[in-house]
Amino acid sequence: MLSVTGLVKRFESSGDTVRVFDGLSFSIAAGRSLALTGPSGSGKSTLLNILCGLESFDEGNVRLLEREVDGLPRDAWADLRRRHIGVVFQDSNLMPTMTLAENVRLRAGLAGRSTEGTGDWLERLGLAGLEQRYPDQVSGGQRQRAALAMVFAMEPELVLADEPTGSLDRQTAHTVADALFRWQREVNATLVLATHDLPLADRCDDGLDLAGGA
Amino acid sequence: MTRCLLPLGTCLPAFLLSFLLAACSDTPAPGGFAGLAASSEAEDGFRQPRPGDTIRLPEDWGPHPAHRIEWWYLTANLTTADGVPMGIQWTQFRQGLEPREPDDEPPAEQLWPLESAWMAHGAVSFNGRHWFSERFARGDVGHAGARAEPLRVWLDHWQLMEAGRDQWQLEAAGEGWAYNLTLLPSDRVVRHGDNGFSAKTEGGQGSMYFSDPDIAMEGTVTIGGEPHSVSGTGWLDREWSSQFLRSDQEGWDWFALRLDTGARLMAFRVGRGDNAYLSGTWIDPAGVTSALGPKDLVLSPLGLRDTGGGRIPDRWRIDVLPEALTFTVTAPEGSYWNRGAYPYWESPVTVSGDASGEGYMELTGYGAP
Amino acid sequence: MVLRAILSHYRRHPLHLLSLWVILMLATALWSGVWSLTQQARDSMRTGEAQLSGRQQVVRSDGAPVTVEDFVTLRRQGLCVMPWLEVDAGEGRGRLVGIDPLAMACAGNQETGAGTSLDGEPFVDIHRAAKLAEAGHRHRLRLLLDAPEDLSLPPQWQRQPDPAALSTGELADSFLLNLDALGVLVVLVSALLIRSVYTLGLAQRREGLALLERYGVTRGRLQRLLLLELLILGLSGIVPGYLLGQLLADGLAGGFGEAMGSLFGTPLLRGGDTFLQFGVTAILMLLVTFWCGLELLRPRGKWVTGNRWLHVTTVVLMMGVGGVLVFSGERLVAVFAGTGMIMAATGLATPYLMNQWPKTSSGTAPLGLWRRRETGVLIRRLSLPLVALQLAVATVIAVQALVTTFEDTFQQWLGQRLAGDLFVEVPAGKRPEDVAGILSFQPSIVEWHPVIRGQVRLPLPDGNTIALDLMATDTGSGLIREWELLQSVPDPWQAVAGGGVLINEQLARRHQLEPGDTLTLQFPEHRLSPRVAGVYSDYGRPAGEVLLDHDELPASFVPGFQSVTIALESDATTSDRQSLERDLERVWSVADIEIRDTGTIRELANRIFDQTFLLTRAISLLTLVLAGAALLMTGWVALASRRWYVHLLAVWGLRRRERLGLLVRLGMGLMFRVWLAALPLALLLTWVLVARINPVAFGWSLPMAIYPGYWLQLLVVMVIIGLVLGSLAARVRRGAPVTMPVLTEGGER
Repeated sequence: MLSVTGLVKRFESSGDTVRVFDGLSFSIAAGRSLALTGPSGSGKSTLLNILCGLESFDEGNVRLLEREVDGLPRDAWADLRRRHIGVVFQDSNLMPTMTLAENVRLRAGLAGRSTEGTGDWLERLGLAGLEQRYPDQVSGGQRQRAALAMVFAMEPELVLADEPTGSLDRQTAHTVADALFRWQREVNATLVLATHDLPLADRCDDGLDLAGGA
Repeated sequence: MTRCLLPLGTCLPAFLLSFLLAACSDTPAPGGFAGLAASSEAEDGFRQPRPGDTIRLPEDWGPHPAHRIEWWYLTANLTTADGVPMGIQWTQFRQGLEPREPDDEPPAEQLWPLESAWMAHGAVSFNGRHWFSERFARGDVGHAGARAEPLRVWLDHWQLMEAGRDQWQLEAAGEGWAYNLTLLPSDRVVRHGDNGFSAKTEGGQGSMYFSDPDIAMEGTVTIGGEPHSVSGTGWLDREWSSQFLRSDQEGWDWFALRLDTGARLMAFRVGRGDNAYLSGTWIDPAGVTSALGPKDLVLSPLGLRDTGGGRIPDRWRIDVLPEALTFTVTAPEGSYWNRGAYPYWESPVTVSGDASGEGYMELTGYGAP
Repeated sequence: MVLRAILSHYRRHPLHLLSLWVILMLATALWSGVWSLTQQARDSMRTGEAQLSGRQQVVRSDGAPVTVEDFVTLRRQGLCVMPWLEVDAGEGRGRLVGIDPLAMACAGNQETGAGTSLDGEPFVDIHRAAKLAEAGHRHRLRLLLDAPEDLSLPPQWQRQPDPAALSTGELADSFLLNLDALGVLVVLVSALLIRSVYTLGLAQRREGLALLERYGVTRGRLQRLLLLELLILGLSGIVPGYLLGQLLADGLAGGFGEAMGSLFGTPLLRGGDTFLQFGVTAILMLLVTFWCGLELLRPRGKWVTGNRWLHVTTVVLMMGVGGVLVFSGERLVAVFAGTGMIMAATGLATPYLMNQWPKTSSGTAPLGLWRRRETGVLIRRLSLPLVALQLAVATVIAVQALVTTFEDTFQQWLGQRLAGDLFVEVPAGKRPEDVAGILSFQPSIVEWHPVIRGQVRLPLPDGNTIALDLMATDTGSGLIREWELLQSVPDPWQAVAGGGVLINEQLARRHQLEPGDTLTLQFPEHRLSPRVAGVYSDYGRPAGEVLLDHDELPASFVPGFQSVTIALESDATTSDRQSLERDLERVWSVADIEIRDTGTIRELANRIFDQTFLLTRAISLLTLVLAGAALLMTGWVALASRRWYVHLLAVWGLRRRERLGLLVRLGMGLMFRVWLAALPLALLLTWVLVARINPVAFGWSLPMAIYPGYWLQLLVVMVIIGLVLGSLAARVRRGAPVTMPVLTEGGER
């Protein structure tokens, strides 16, 4: 499903070259989940960005969704993200000018999925009755659940989640994580999850600590 | 006096040419104009003064149609009955467009000929204020002109004319000012430079130039409807040439000073910086003149004045080396721009230092108001 | 230290500082440019007016033609007399006018640098004209006089009005009044633009400022420092802005300036009021700066929202009161105030109305919905600059319509007063009828009619009478029948031939007369009571006028001035004219008659007023440039705050071209809305200027014309601005970090 070999990523920082990854290798089979851990600045977000084509890398080999992605044109990456890769950030996953339902419909529509069942996803995530609310009219946890609804509605094969519960209280974080894992197992999707939260990381099938440069 | 070489040399022709070209596009431009003084003999037929030429009086009070440019230039330091100083200026310029020998018949006035154009400037400086007017005319129709005997130089109702035996009358009026003055010319006419040939460059280009530095004047100057009885002394310059300034000679500083010792000094600097050319005439109290060359004179600005137009050196140090004399020349408070079609600075001055006195200063090329 | 903290905002966002400075500078440039251009337009109009209407000529008391000697003698007496030598240049060349630019320098208005524009044919140097005259071409020398009315001439000469004099009268006054009104509008619009750029920038700094306040810096101190910063910025923009404005004005008036400069050697933009002009610009800038500063004193919080009901009531009330004032105001102040209220109300209502559009349409594709919702956000965030742009566009359209209207009106006015090809003054003691025989049988004459002018009195209901101008002519003439009538009875010319009269608009408005009404005309020994057959437009004439057929004139009527207007065949030759002239001289048995070529006069008039219109157009161009620049800047800042969402679209798999298309459509849609919103306002403004302000101020109206072609040109400009905005916003750089926005209540939507 996803394999990374010998990944090197360099940053130019005030004249010095900083190597974020220096020969990083790992792989993950379809339907499995992988937790990326490590302190801030260890490259969790960078790795996720590389895995969805929003950032480039300098050396190495990345295979995902049965493709060699090195040299993949931007538009091909965009198509991958549109239909096959779901991305969840810590916050601000929604368009503030649209209601929760409209957001889900937009995301599903972009992925070419039916927009009929959007209400079901919101309902399944405990957001029944909030469909016509705007993101700023619901709580942070509800927003994150709506973000998950958007990802679920697009039926991706790969989900990249960047601290999806990072700004939530423990209880809310727990419900959101539950929903995510339950869905992941249900549809057999592959999940890469970057987090600080060790209990959350432990719920994944595999772990990758970026602190030591792996 | 060569002082208005710049306004005439570069500005008036431009002014005239442009109107000619605009109003009458088939009028040919005088040849060699843009080249300023590239050749010594004007190619378009105007006669060029050269060393050895002399001044003949009284004929040379009259016009020189074979030369391109000339002027009658009077400045005077007057005093009102209350003892308040007042300066006046009257100038008439002629600009030839086509040369004509003095003896040739002038063209018929019915044809409104355009062989020459005339410009007159009049100014009054009083109590720190300055009034200025200018007028224009074409020559040869009678609107403006000059003749030597009896002396008469006129444009519109402004005129300098002989009004009796050894007596002249000067009249001019502009907006807010007018003067009517009687002039008693002295019999000591000063021929500048080499017997009247005044060099303007190292290369020997120059003009014919003579002055009467001591004209007793009295009469009435009316300012804002209020007449003032005045008397004092004037300085009249006559100068003619066909050459314009060299293109690298920008600007002009000129001084005509009457010292209380009875001595007189004319000094000028053509151009600024390395290209400057200095010249002058020293007239001792007995009336003996000596020409001052570039090595005999030092003109140094001492201070700058911010005016509505540009920064003007309003104080000067003048060293006359052969006489071992040093003077400081100062313009009174005020702004003395002649804001005509081509602005320049013309102000009365006072002299201090090794001798005291008064006179006039003209500055060109210091920016326009 | 605090200052450094405040300024650190600009270190992080140097473009904010730059854009604020640029807008301040551009606004100063606009003001100084507009000031300079209106002054020039005013001068050029006034000079033109003086040249056309104030023309008087000097004639000899003994009746002999004037000569060069007369010119010289009069000049030598200090009189400003200028030669004007008309010569028939020969077949195919028409008539040349020889002038002496040197002699003309004495005429008034030289101070402004806007003298005469008589360069190029038919105006030539008088020497050239004199040579043609000497070669035998028919010619006539006139001496024009520029002197106050009360200045007496020596007894050998007399002053006489030039028969070619044309008084634009109130037409020029009206144009200048409208120009002033628009100048004020331009200042207001640009003040609005500055404020919008400033407040938008300030909004982005609020967080940083709040942080400083939490660290213990008092509000008062912050406000003082910010005001100081604003003041310094404003001052640093004044000088370059002023110079830029002068440069622009100079450049825009270029062709005109060069012509002037070459004619009189006077630089176009010289002038004693440079200092005044700079002072006014500087004071305006400081006022606007302080207006921006007021924003700082406002308590922080929700100041925008307010009560919607109150908002709507205010708008409706202002519209209503403004409308009443504009439509029925009897005084100029009322009409101006009403216009101001309507414009302000429009400004308040526009963002709301523009927002209704995106909200109402639903059920479209998700991305379309996104675009419309984002448009709504932008409209709210950019409401001030958008309204400013709306007003600017409306102003520009109004200026264009006004100038074009004036140009057309002016042409019409010229056509009415300079009908035909030749204008012959009937010599004293002679009658137009004497030459009827000749004129009717000349094969080169297409048409002719006499014009008899004089005065008649109109009795008023209160027992008084007032004087009216009277014009009697052959109303059967085709030249007269070309006149445009504003209102009329059916078949008005028939009615006039049968004893009816036409009246001018001024008379109709002042005494509420309409076609069909009866009017009493009091002649010294007679009284006529004709019916009004129609009303004609008569721009610029301050007085009422009545036109009747010459056959209806009482025999006792004493004409003030009589002339004959002649239209020639297009192939009429100079010798035809000369033989006509000789025939007229023979029949009237006079030595020399006055035949004026109306073409020359029309040419002169056109030249003079073309300059004015050119300058006025430059003003509207400058306004548009400023508005466009302000919108680009504010739009760019506003769109930058939406970068995360564009990034989100990229994450969701929108290709680059798709994002670009989406945002470009967003930008262009926004501009289209502004353009659409500006149109009604532009129409209203134009209508108020020509149909309300003019009648209130002068008693006659201008025809209103609209120019949709120009609207489309503006639309193109605005769509381009939208395109640039959209493509700027669509740029998502790979790997560049995009900060997530903080979601506050209602803040992001």
